[in-house]
Amino acid sequence: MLKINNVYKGFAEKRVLNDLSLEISESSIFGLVGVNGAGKSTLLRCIAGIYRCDAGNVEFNGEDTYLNEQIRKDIFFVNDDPYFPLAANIKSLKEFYASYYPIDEEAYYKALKMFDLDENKQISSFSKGMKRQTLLLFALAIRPKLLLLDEAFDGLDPIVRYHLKRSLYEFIEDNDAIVIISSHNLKELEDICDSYGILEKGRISTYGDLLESKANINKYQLAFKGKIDESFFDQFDLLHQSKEGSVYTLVIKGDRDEIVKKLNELQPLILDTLAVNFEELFIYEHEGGRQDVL
Amino acid sequence: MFSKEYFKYLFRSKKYLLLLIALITLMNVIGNQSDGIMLLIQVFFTMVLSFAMPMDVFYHVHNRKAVDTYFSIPVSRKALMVTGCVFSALVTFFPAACAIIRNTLGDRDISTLLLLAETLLDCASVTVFNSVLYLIGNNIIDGVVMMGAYTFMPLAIIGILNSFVYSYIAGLRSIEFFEARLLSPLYMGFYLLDSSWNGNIDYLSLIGLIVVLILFSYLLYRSYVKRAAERADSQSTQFLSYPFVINFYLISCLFLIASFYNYNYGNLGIFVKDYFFLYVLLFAVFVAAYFLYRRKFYFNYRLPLFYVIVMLISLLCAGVCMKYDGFGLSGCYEKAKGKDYCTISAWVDYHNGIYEYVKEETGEDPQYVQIFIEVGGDDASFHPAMSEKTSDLIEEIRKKAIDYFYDDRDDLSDIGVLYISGKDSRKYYQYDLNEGLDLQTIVEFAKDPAVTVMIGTYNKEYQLMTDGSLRVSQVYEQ
Repeated sequence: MLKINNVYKGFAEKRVLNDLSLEISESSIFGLVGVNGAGKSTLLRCIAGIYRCDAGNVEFNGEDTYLNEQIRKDIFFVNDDPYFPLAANIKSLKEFYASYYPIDEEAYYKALKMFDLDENKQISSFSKGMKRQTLLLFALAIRPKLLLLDEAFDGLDPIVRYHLKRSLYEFIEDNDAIVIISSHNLKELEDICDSYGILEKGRISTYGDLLESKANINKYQLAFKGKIDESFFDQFDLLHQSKEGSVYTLVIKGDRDEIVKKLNELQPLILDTLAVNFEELFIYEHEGGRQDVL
Repeated sequence: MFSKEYFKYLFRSKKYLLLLIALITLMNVIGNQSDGIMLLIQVFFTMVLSFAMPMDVFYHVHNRKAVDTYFSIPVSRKALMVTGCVFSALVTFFPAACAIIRNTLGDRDISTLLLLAETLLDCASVTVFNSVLYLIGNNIIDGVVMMGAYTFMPLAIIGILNSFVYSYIAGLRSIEFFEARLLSPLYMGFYLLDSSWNGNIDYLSLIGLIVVLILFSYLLYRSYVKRAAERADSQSTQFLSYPFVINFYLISCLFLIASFYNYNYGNLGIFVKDYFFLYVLLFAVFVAAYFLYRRKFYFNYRLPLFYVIVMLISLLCAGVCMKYDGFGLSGCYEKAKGKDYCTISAWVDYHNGIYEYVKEETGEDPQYVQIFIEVGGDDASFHPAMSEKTSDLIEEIRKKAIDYFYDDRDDLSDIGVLYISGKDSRKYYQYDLNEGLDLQTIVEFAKDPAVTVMIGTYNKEYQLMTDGSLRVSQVYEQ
C-alpha cells in the first residue's frame, strides 16, 4: 500500500504540491495525469524518496520512503530523462544495478530480447527510445514492488509499447506490485491503467477506478423541435455544454439511466448517449475544475 | 556507513582513469628522482587529483538526471558520501605514497610510515575540504568556481593583510602574528610533510589537518546527506556560494586598492585620479561576476550603492589607520634594550652630512652611501654588551622614522632595516631611517665599544667604490 499523507512541496517561491493525499493499493496500475507543470514528476520524485517533502510524508508498506534505503530496495524510478554513466553499456549497467537490487536473470533476458537491445553497445550511441527501453529493461528485471514511470511511453515505437504493456500486466499479476505511470498520452494510459488521478493545483483533484469514472461520465447529444429552457440543465453535474444548430452536446457526471430519464422529460427529438474516453474525461474534468475557479 | 558495492562500482567504472593514474605514477617512480622536476610533477599531480577526484565522485549531485539515479538507489546517502570520499582520498594518496616509498626506502633518517600516515591524513583532509567546496555550488560550473574561489581566499586574505600592514604600520613588512597556513589544508599539508621530511613534526599543521578533517566531514554531511536533490543544475543562490564569494573578493580588492592610498600618496584627490580607471574596471568585473552568478545581465541600484559604500569604508579605514599610527600597532615593537645583537642597515641621503665626510676621507664622490651599524654579537659571551645610550639612540632613530612615516611627506622609501636579536626572538623592521641617521649620530654610536660602524660607498652602477668600507674607528678618531 502506498500512502501519500498531506504532502507539501515547493521550489523557491513556487508551491508545486499542496496538501496532496492519495492511497494506492497493490496490484494496480495508476495513471497520473495533469497538465504541464502540474507537478507529476515532483510527486514521483517525492514518492521515490529523492525529494524531501516540505511537509507530510510518503509511506510505502508503512515505511517513509525518504532516506530509507531498505524500503527503496522495493522501489524503482524511471525518470523522463534517464542518466547513464559515461561509456556505460547495458552489461556494465547491470553490474551497477545488481549491486543494489536483486535482478531476475530470466526477466532480464526476456526483456532484453523483447526490446531487442545490444548488451555490449555503448548506451551513449542509443536513440532516445532505446535509452528509455534500457531503463525499462531494468525495471522489469528488478521487479520492484513499486515501479514509478515518468513519461515512460514517450519515444517508444508501437510494437515496443504493445509488448511493454503486456509485460507490465504480467509483472503486476506476478508481484502484487504498484505501477504509477505519468503521461500526457492518455490514450496509452487508458489501455493499461485501472485507476487514475488528476493532479491539479498541487492536489489530486479527481481519482478513482478508471472504468467506474468513465461509466459515470457520459456524453449526451440531444436535438429539440423548438427552443428549450437551458436552465433545465443546471440540475445536472454538468462538465461541458455546447450547441451546434439545434443539437446540444452535454457531458454530465452521474448515473446514466437517471440522467437519460430526466432528459427525456424535455421530449427531445434525438437523445444519444456516448461513452467518453480517458482523454475526454481528463479534458472535461480539467475544464470543470477551471470553470470552478473562474 | 561504507558501501562495498558502491566502492567496487567506483573502482570498475573508473578503471581507465585509474590506469592512467597508475601509468603516470609508474613513470614518476622510475624517473630520475634527483631531478627536482619529477618531484614537482608529483606534487602538482597530487594537487590536481585532490581537486579532480571530488569533482568526479560527487558529479551526480550537480546533474539533474544523475541525482535521480543516485538518490533513488537503495544505498544510504551517508554510505555514498563516505565511500566516495574514501575512494577519492585513496586515489589521491596512491601516487604520493608510491613517491614517498620510492624516495625514503633505505633512508634511516626519515620514517616512511610517518610520512605515509601524514600524507594519508593530508589527502583525506584535502579531499573532504574540496568536496565541501564543490558542493557549495548547485551545478558543475559553479562547483568549480567555488573550489577556485575558496582555495584562493587564504591567499587573498594574506595578500590584503600584508598590503595593509606594509602600507599602514611603520616598520612591518608583513603580518607576523598570523599563522596563515591554518587557512588552508593544502598549506598545512605542505608544512607538515616538509617538516617531517626534515626530521621534525609540525604539530600545529598536524592538529590543523585533523580539525579540518573532522569539521569538514560534518559540513560535507550537511551539504551532501541533507542536500535537497532539486538543487541539481539550478542557480547557486545559497549565501556561501556567489553572494559571499563575490562580496568577499570585492571587499578584498577595494581594501587592497585602499592600502595603496597611504603609502604612495596620502592625498585623496591624486589617489582617486590615478586609480579611477582601476575602480571602474573593478566595478565592471563586479557586474560581470553577477552575470556569472545569475546567468543573465543583472543590474540593480544596490550594486553601485554597495560598491561605493565599501569603497568609502575602505578609504576611511585607510585614513583612520594613517591618522592613528596604524591603530597604534606601529608602537608595538621589540625594543633593542637588553638584546644581544642588533644591526642597522640603511641607504642614506645627502642631507645628513655623511656624503661630505666620505668625500673628505676617501676623495671619492659616491653616488650612493650605505651605513651598516652592528651592535653586539649573536654570542653574548664574546661581545661587549650594548650600552644604554646605544639602545636609546636606536629607539630615537626608530621613533624619528615612525614619525616620518605618519607625517606628511612627499616620498617614502624602505631604505633601512633594523634587526634585533635576543635569546627568544629575532625581529626585522623596515623603516625609512634617513631622518635619524646623520653623521653626529653615527659618531655617537661609534663611541660604544660594542658597536661597529661600516660605511659603504657605491658608484652609479651600484658597484662598491672603496675596498670594503670605512671602519668605525676612522669615524671615531675624528
